[in-house]
Order: sequence, then structure tokens, then C-alpha cells
Amino acid sequence: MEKKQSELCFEILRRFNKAGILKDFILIGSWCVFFYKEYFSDDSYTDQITIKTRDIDFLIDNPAKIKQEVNIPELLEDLGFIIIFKGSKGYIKLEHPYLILEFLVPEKGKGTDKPHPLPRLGVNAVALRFLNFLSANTIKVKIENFYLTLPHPANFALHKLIIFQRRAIKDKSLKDRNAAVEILKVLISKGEADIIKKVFNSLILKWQKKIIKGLETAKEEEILRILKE
Amino acid sequence: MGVIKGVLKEELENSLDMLKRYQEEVAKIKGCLIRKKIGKNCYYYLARRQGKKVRFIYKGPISDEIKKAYAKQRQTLNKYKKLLSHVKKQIKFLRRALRGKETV
Repeated sequence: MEKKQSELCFEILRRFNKAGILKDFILIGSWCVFFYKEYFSDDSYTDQITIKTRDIDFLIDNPAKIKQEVNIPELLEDLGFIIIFKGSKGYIKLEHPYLILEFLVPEKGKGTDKPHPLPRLGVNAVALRFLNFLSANTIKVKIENFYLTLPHPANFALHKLIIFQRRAIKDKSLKDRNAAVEILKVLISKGEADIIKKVFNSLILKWQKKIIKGLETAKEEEILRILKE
Repeated sequence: MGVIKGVLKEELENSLDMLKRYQEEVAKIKGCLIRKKIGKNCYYYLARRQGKKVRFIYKGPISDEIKKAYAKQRQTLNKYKKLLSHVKKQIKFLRRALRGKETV
């Protein structure tokens, strides 16, 4: 199934790229770990460091910037994706037995529990806190003949360390924490400890404290030492 | 519960939701266009299951566009049926995996 799943993922990316909207998206969530293998290609990185679920999340940092009119459900219809309206507010998800697509936007101001409409794309998005942190520092990885934008692994890992403490489901929380720690370890072995430190220092004190607390519960002394230096 | 079991449980919930949605989509597509050759002429009928019987409703002369629309509908139906079978297999697998007692 894994092969079919990644084939479907590549097909979605190809179609988004062809439609000219991939450049407006940042891939976030557990699928980042799969694509980080391009970034860590020289190291002993494995995309098996975390469990990859069927959820594939696309962050749209600036929805107003999207110029193309692309109906995403129509674009993916022949692949067998169906639209699902989740919850009482009607968040749109595109579901397929191998992948579940969701769109996210950074939450601004007071925040709202309503979906953020994306009329040009024919879908809506969930507005979530802390997503600006992921879009603040991104990398591009080459896939076939196009590029995919991902959050820098340091931002991805530190973001996970913030949100794992907010998760209501304990198992998901542990999964996030483990993925974060593993990615930070690979970054350290790649000699990018200074980047982790720089990203950490760019955070507000409240978030820094949250990360430290998270690492203390995980008893990750080496990472703690780097951050506290 | 272990991390893996937690993930599998969530995946099972997703698959059950998906099963329901695919079944709804399949139910929405009613009938398929059938061509019958009688003598030298071709006649089009909509084959539709009504209870235990399959009824053939005569559609009269139909345009190429309608033919294409039915063909597309048929393709979608086949696709959904195939995916529905995948979802059923996934549910079976996930239920079996979750039946284990040990924490993974």
C-alpha cells in the first residue's frame, strides 16, 4: 500500500504543479518527513522515523496571493477523491483510501472556528495557530522536474515540540514528540545545531519555555544542552 | 495504548467514514446506459436495478454528449467500486491489527 500511497501523493503534486498552484502551498504534517530524505540525502536519515498517516496537509500561507482559479476537487476527481464535510462547520477534506487531503491557513487575530473559504480553489481551509512559524523558514526539495516547499526541518521539529503538548490524544502527542526529537537529532548529526539554536532564539519566550518543557519530559539532554548554550 | 495502536485506531475511524461516503456516492449513480442492437438499428436503454429486477428504460435517440456523460459516470462508478473494495480490505486489516492485546 505504501508504494501506491506515495505514487498517489506524487500524482497530486504533479497535478498541482501543472495547474500552477503548488508554488503557493507548503506541505506540512507527517508527509514532510517522507520528503526530508531529499534534504538529508547525505546522512543516515530514514523516513521511517515517524509513522506516516494518510493525512496530507497543505498550508496556504497567503491565500490572497493565489491568482489561478483551479477547482481542486475537479482536478482530483478522476483519481477517486470524494469531498467530505467534517464537523458542524463544514470543513472540507478530500478523501481517498490512500490519502486524505486537507488545507490549512494560519489563524490571524482572535481566531474563528469557521472554515476559511478558498473560492478560487473550490475548497475551504482550517485556520490554526502557530502555522506562521512553519512558513517563516522553508526549504525547497526537487521532485521530478518541479520543486516542493517544506518547512525547514528545524522549524518543523520545534513546531511539533510546541503542539504536542496541546494535543488531547496522548498517542498523537507522543508520535509528534518522537518525530520532533528524531529530526532534531538528524539535524545535529548533519552539523546544523546552530540552525536549531537560531530558530529557537527567534521564538517568543513563551514558546521557548514550552519547547524546553517538552524536551525535559522527553529527557533529551543533548538537545536541551544545545538550546540552553 | 501504544503510539502505533493509536494511529491505527484513528485510521480505522477514517476508513469507516470513508466506507460510508463511498457507499453514498455509489448509491447516487443510478443505472447505466445500455445499447441494444435490434435488427439493423441500435437503441439505448437505461438499465436500472429496482429491487430484485433489472428494468430497461427506453431512452429514445440520445446525443453524443449524453452518451459521453453516461460513459464518464460508468467510469466513476467502477473507480468508486474499486476504491470501496480497498476501503473494506483496509477496515478488515485494521480491525485485525487492533485485536492484538499487547501495547505496540
